[in-house]
Amino acid sequence: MVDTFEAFCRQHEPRLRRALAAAYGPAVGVDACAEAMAYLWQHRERVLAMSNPAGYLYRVGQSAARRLRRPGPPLFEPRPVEGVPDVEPRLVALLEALSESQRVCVVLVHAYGFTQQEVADILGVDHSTVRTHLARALARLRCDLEVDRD
Amino acid sequence: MIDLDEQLVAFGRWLDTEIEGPLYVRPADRGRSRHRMVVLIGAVAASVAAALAILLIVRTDRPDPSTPFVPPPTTPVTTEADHPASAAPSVAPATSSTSVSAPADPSTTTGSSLVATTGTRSTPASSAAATQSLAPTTALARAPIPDPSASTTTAATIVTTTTTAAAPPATTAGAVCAIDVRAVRRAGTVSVRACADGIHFVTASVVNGTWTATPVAFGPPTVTVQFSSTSGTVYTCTVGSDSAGVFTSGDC
Repeated sequence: MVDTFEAFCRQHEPRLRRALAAAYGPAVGVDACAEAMAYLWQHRERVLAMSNPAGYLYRVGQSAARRLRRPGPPLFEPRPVEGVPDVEPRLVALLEALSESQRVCVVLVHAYGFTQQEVADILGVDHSTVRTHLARALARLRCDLEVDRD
Repeated sequence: MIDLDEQLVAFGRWLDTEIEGPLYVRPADRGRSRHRMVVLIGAVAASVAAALAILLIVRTDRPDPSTPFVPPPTTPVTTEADHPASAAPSVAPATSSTSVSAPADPSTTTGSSLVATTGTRSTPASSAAATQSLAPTTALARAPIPDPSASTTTAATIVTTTTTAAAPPATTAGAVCAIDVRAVRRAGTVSVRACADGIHFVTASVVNGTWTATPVAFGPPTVTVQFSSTSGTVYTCTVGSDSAGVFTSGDC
């Protein structure tokens, strides 16, 4: 079971961490992911037997993030990193203004290259729901950034 | 013209720098803020432990009020307040004024054991010793109530596994001053934090089998983990656990 646990973590933990970081910011997202992994370790037999353990753990992480989250500072505070292109400040603000689900969908699909089905599995929603979130989020970003459709 | 896809990819790469890799280095200002909070919590915990210890000392020294108080012939240890004159008519005024005094050995006094245990900085080579030093702390919660006559040990019974990182040294470039097991949520899981370089907290969330810091060894009773600081220096830290797998603090 430990081997299964480790294999699951190797495969899903990075995705979960990225999803929670996209939803709640890097600081809270990382801590929430650690909470979810801790929950997995404690309940590994039950969770790993589920049909969609990653989606269940994302909801565990959501609950943890809502406990950890503190009002005030913005979710994302990009600072220059060597070797990484600068991020348009307006984009960061607009991403924060999106709904949590829309933000996660946009970041996972367009920033990290997840498939829509992978995002649907993590969020525990239908593929069509992800498609709708993406369409609305991209339309809003393009409008506010005054970007023409490709 | 902004390329939205390109910007989103850049955002993803930036976010990866924040959440990926063996370490997550928080911005300095946030680290300092958290450090202040940890120190504050530690100070409050030490104060509460000291107050409770004093209360225990006073209570354990109080004799049964139903029996007349007979002072010891040479070194009385009670107070006037504990034994009103009406309850102890035979007390001689000249021998009833001795108050509860601090123990002679400062290493066993209340409160100081918490600070000494959690904030001590040790050399990098002393990871095994750091683990050993945890044993008294981890055993404290289940230690039996000591003999009332040995009142100088009551503080240790009260002290919990609350940990406090030492203040970051002002001129310690590259030094890890302390490792703090931030939250021991469940057995098998430990989230550790060390302050390094005097300005940064180096945080690693560690789950059994999926270390985000570089693991050296794992398994009760100790966890040894290596951190690479922002300056590139590698530190080896060891934290210990009790028989139930609950981790406490350790030193680097």
